[in-house]
Amino acid sequence: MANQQKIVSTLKEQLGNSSDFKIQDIDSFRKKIILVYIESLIDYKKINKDLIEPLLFCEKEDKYLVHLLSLPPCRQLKTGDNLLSLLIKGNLLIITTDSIFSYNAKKASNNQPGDSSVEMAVLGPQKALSENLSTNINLVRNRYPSENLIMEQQTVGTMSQTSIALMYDKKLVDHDVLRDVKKRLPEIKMDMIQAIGQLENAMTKKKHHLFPIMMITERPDRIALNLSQGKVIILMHGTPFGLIVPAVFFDFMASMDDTSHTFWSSRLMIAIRYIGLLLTLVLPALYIALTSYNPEVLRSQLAATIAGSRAGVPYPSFFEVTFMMLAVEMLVESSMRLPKAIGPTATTVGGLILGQAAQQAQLVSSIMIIITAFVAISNFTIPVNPMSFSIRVARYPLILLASFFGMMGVAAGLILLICYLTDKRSFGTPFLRLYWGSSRRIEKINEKPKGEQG
Amino acid sequence: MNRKAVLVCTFAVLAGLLTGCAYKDIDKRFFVTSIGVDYSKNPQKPYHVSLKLAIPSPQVQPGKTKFQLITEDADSIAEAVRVMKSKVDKDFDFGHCRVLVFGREILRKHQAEVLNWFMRRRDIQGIAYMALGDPTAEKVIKVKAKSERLPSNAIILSFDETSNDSPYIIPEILNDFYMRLKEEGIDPYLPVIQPLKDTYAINRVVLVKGSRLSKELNMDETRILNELLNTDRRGLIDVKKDENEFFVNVESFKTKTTVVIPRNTKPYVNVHIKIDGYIESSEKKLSHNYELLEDQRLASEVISNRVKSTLETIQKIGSDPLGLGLKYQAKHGVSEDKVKKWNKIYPHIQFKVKTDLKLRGTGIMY
Repeated sequence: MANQQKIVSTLKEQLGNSSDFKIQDIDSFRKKIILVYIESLIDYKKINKDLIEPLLFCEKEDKYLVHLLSLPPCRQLKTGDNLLSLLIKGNLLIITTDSIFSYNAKKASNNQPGDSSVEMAVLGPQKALSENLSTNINLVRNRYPSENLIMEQQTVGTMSQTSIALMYDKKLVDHDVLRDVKKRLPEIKMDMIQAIGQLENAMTKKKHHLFPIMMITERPDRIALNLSQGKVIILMHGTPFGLIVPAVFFDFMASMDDTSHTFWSSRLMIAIRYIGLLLTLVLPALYIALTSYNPEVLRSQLAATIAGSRAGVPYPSFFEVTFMMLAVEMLVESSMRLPKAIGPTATTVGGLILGQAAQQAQLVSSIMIIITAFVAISNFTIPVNPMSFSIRVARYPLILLASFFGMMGVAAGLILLICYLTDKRSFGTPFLRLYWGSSRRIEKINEKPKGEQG
Repeated sequence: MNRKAVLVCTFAVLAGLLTGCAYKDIDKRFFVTSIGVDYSKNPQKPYHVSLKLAIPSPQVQPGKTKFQLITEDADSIAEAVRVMKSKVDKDFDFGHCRVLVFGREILRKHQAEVLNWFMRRRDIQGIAYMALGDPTAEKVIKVKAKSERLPSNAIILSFDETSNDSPYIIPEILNDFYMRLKEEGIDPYLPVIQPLKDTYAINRVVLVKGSRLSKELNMDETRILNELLNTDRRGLIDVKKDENEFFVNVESFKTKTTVVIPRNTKPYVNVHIKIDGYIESSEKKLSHNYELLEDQRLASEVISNRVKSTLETIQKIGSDPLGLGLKYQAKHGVSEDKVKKWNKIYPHIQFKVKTDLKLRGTGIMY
């Protein structure tokens, strides 16, 4: 009896004045049962149904205890357990005279999967992940009903204690990658981790890296597909995104719609995406190189038109390109976070009026306007968002090289970029690896041991 | 780390100063679209060089081409170009110079020097079209063709097989001309351009004997030479014998030429021509197949005779644009003796022409 009171008073002391900290005394079986919980985390209905009602029906304490232990989220605590952290995680403590039980009655929040809004698919599944971890795990399990699917739960963030789930198919998974992921997760030293991107950055060893080596996705179908390809999935509580490890370049160019189109139409879409990738990467640099160093490469007709339209432009071509690229980047950046009501206005003002006016004022040539629009549009053909950001960044070094060395600079820049990508590893997997089918069927590259890289 | 940052900053600033000399915007260049070289009648400054400079405009419309023609006399082409630079506001860019026109006199007198400059400049493309200007190169360059959207573009289009397949036009590019000039056993030729009001006439070709300009071929001979060169240019063959006159529209024209040196008899050249075509216009009615076959036989005969006489004309001039000498070398070796032997054989060699004409039909009318 005294023990019971002591525990309660210690908890009271530790949690202090928090007004949602509740202690409830129930007299039953001529004994005292104390329920301790944090109100805001608890689902009342669940307690009522699972704990209070049976208490009233049970005649004997023994019977009630059996009932308690039969509940799946309930367990008897041992002396070593940290009561405080259990409370904070949404557990209810049932303190009887002899022992303490914890009962997980956490209120589920944001557990409705929303429509996918980042990676949209025309014909694919329409729902994305939710912000609730258990809902997400449920979604994945439903899509991947395999007895080999393993789920391991952990927490990251010293203060945020965000719970994450590691999921993989134990038969198909690349064990080197899995070992590496499991090694890296405890090494993360961050206080607050709230977004999956943060986790991705924390897990990447190199500080200055351009291309993402893990894929963030909001689509349960992509997660299931990647599980079947032997990848490791990390789901985090509180974000509607999952992390796919490892990811190679060609994964970032694949859309989930590719699987639902007919063969030739999906081939065309993929081809268009790669052409878009190339255009958005090299077009501005090519413009500089062709107009200022090697106009003989162009057809005479085009050369004359460009020369004519540039005749009134007072600044050199790299200034022209920098100016227009700046405008288009600002446009993209501003329209990304604008409320939906203002978005169209910004694009109209920025895109139409600014472009038209800049050309009329002879600040840029009309060819440059075409190129700018082309670059912006073709950038959006890249289906996965982080990759399209990386490509946006990658074109600036090319512009720089083109304005110093012309065509040769562009060619050298592209070769350097390919070298960089070739050298890159995603958890030991070569970043430019051609990837299809499950990892079982792909021969392992063992020149460098996996782990410790990327 | 700090030192690194300082270094990067320094390089960035320094790089900003290094705009360098290769960087020249497209609007700061004067595109030379064609070059004409004539003889100036002044032995001290024999080269009369004319450059046609394109004035670019953002709107391209047919007949609205603007250009500037500048000329200069100098003792070399390089010198002339250098002096001409002082007459304009922008730097010359020869990257789009596709037409090189030469006067007859300058090629007679200074062919080697002229070609040397064009071959040596890296910005003059090897695919630039060469031509002979009649009467002078400058007059050819001066013409403003009504249809052209860009200065000199009309000449380029006429020479381009995809836009003009007239059998009277034999294009010759710089690289090919140079190859034919340097190679034993094949001789170059140059198309002749005559300026007309608002347009050009290109229908003759001038042959080169050895390395010297020789005689011109007339229109019909030019056409036959073109056909023998196996270009894809096709035309019309007119056949006239007595009362019967008809025209054959040529669908395909293929020739196979072989040099035959038999042991005992005289050497001869075997020319085998294969023509596919149909009747385009006929004086008489063609209602039976035997009439068509008769026409076919007649046309083959006429064509064979014509080709033979053209080949003999070319032989008389002493030029070898078909590369018969090369064909001989391919069989008999390339030594100096063989070349000499061929030079002895060629003036007396016989031509045996055989024509396989196939008339596919009579057109859509009987």
